[in-house]
Amino acid sequence: MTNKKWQMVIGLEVHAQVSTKSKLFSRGSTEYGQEPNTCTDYLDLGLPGALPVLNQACIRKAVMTGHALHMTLNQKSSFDRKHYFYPDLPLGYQITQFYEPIAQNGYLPIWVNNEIKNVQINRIHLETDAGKSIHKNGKTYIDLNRCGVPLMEIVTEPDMHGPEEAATFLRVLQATLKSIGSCDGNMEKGQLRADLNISLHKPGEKFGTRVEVKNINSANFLKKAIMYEYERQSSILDSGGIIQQETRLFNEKETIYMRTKEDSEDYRYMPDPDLPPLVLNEEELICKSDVRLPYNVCKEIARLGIKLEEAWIVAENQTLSDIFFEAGKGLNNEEKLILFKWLIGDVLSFINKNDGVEIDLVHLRNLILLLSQEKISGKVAKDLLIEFIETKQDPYYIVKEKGLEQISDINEITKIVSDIMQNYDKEIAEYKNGKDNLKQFFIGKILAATQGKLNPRLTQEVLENYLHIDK
Amino acid sequence: MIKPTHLQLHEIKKILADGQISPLTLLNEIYQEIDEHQNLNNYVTLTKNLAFQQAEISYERIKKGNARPLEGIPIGVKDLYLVKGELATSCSEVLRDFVAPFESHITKNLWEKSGAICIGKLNMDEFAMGSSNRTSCFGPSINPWSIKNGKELVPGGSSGGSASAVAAGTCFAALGSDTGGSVRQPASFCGVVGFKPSYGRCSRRGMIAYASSFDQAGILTRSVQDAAIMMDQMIGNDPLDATSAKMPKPNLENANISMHGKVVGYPANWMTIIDESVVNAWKKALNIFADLGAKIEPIELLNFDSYLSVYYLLTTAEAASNLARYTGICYGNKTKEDIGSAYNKTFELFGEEVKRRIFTGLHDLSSENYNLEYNLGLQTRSYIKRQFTDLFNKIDLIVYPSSPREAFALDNVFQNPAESYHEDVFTVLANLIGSPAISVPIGYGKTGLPLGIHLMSEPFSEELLISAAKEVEAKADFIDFLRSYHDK
Repeated sequence: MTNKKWQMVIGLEVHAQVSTKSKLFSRGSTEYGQEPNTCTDYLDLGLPGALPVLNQACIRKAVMTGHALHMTLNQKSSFDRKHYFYPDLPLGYQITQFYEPIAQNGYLPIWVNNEIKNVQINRIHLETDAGKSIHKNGKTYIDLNRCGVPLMEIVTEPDMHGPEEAATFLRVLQATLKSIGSCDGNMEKGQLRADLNISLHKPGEKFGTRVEVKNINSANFLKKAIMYEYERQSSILDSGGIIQQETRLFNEKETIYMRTKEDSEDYRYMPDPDLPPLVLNEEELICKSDVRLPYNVCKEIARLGIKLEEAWIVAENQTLSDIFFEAGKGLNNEEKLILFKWLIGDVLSFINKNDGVEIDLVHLRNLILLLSQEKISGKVAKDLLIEFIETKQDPYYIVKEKGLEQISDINEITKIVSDIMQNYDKEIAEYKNGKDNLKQFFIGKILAATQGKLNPRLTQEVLENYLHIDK
Repeated sequence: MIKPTHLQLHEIKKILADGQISPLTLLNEIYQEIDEHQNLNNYVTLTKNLAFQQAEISYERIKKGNARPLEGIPIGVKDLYLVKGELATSCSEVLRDFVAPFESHITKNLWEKSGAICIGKLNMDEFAMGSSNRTSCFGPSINPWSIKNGKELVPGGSSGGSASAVAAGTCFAALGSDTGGSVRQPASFCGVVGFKPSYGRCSRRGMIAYASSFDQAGILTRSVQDAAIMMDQMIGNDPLDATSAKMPKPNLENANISMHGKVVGYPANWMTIIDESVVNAWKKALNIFADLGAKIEPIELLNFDSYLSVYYLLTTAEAASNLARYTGICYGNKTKEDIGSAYNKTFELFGEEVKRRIFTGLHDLSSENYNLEYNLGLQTRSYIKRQFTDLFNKIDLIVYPSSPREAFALDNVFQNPAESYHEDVFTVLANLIGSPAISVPIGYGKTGLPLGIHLMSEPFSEELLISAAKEVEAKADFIDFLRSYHDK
């Protein structure tokens, strides 16, 4: 889709809802999906005499987020009023951190073409969400439940260059925030939304005029919006036009014109006189999450020789990465590799089919050991996985009990193979006449006859020998 | 014999506690007084149901011997405090029908912890913007001293109704609020005591805001001791007001710090520019301190217009922001004819002065002017604060007049709005630096109307300030309105 003529530069402003029970400055509930206007405190309604009281839980979570994004935490930050008139903004201003944000200058590691890239982040500031206007039957209804809900605005530098990269950033960010518990990251509930800034320029020239696209609520929509804007802007540029600095809205298909810079409001920022500067003590400043961060998990798995993109499947999934580290205890790299492959294959599909299932991780580790020591075959392991989870029995025990142990004795295998092959004289003859693909047929017959108990590597060898003896 | 309603708060407190008068009887007499003084237009709402319920409880508690500190004492409340279930209008058309759904921190404590009685809501300038009480949507409150020369006088503002009611004996104390002198200037005009503590001493929760970083609760009473007793009940940290101070509570009722050896400063460069009668009252106060053994020292302050400019620059901006909530979605009269957008419908309801300050504030805050106006104001305020921190290392008390003049006639017309802003020239300083300040009656001006002397000390040094005020009051030989005209 993109061509060599125009390069794109992308920056994101991500609004992440801080996962707390109450709002940033009031005791109103942040519970999703409640009856309209039932989660509102006096401040959220903008009543005279109501004062903001900072929710300390939001501060802890913002600090944890700052650390996870390698940012400098500001010992002193402050809150400002951003004024604009809208019916669902009862105070007439949003409380935000315009002049002194809580965290600055960091990065989030993502990957581009299997290379780690640190996407630079400019700042995180805390701010309040506005309410919701619902237009219906020619009337406008106002729901103030969201009003005052705590948001972290995470602003990147213009540091990304393509739709995949931006989408990866959003996914890695979402998983990071979820893992440390600072944002539940549910995009359907509007807990994570992004505004896109995109400009085009010729290679080697300075950045073009940027266009802002608001209201993007998934990684896929982000890709779509970027591609749409790339097409739109490059065709304007190709035909000799110029890009207006403007704000556009994404409606899930295309971006539509909203306003130009000239019509944008003067927000009349001012320090909020109801809120003294926020000064963090040493203890508050070092508040870090001790969970494994998904991007670190991803890097660690990739060290086993796995592509970052594939490693991410486990890294972004809290359950899978917990399993990976717990079951992987004491395993060597080769065994971990087997574990990884099983995790993204059979284990993941089992978990997807059986919501909330508990897997004994010692049992899983034993299964991997049985496999790596070639005591069972892959086919046996597939059934065994389901069986040990359902019966809660140790795979070692099941293997012994049911005699599922793989046969790795070369003489025994030779005997079994020749016994089976005696039934296929006709096919052997055809094979010897050049019908090579019959080899798979023979393997299938052997596996079926032995319930997959034969060591596949040795079986292969033995079969080769058998077929070539008098060839 | 002096009527019980004409007693001072500390006197009625004793009589109530001794059971010599029932809180219910007293309350009836107060409402009778209010009725007789309707011409003063001080009360915009009477809260009789609430008052009699509270008085019943007070009666029971006194009988049982477990009276609270202000048990049964009738108090008036400036109409910007939220009293749950009662109208709270800030004397603006915009809030004319607004019934408070919750109670302000201060009034809650006064009723529930201290046992005071809420008798009604008092007239004020609209949203506390004004110095003569003439911007109220309920019409002006009148100064009781008007009978002196037969001409209607303003009580000052913005807590004009509070000062007038206290002077006229229709309550024992009245809550006011002070953003730039709104308690002290009307106190001076009405010959009563007006006291504003340090910024942060009293919670602002439940007070309708004008300029948040300046607004502070205040009290108007007929004596310094009464102000001290009231303020002891009003001061205290409120974790739900982020600007509330976490400081140990003072004991003002018993404050008794000697003035001997204290350094009293007065801005000598201001003395040349004001009326002689006012200067004489000022000198009288300085002599009182000298007689008490204080050291009197001239100090150099900026021209008072400099302070005034910073004050108006910052307060109008904060006001524009604080009043942005009255958008016409939830407030205002919906039946008025359509005059444009929903926003304008409410905006039309604001009075002229409020509109003027909103426009000024919007101008100062606009991105074009921010650095030259609002931000410059913030920086200048910091500079002034530092200047005074240094000054208070050498000076204990700063003394000058509360107002450059006596109360003026209701029909007095200012040449332009800036002239009316000069009413606050002496008082805004305390709000700029967050200091406690008090106006105490000191004498009379050239037409025989009251003049107040203004005392100011370092932030959170209320005990020193009240001690000084008690001394000045004792030696001022001032006779208040009730004693001048009723209880001779």
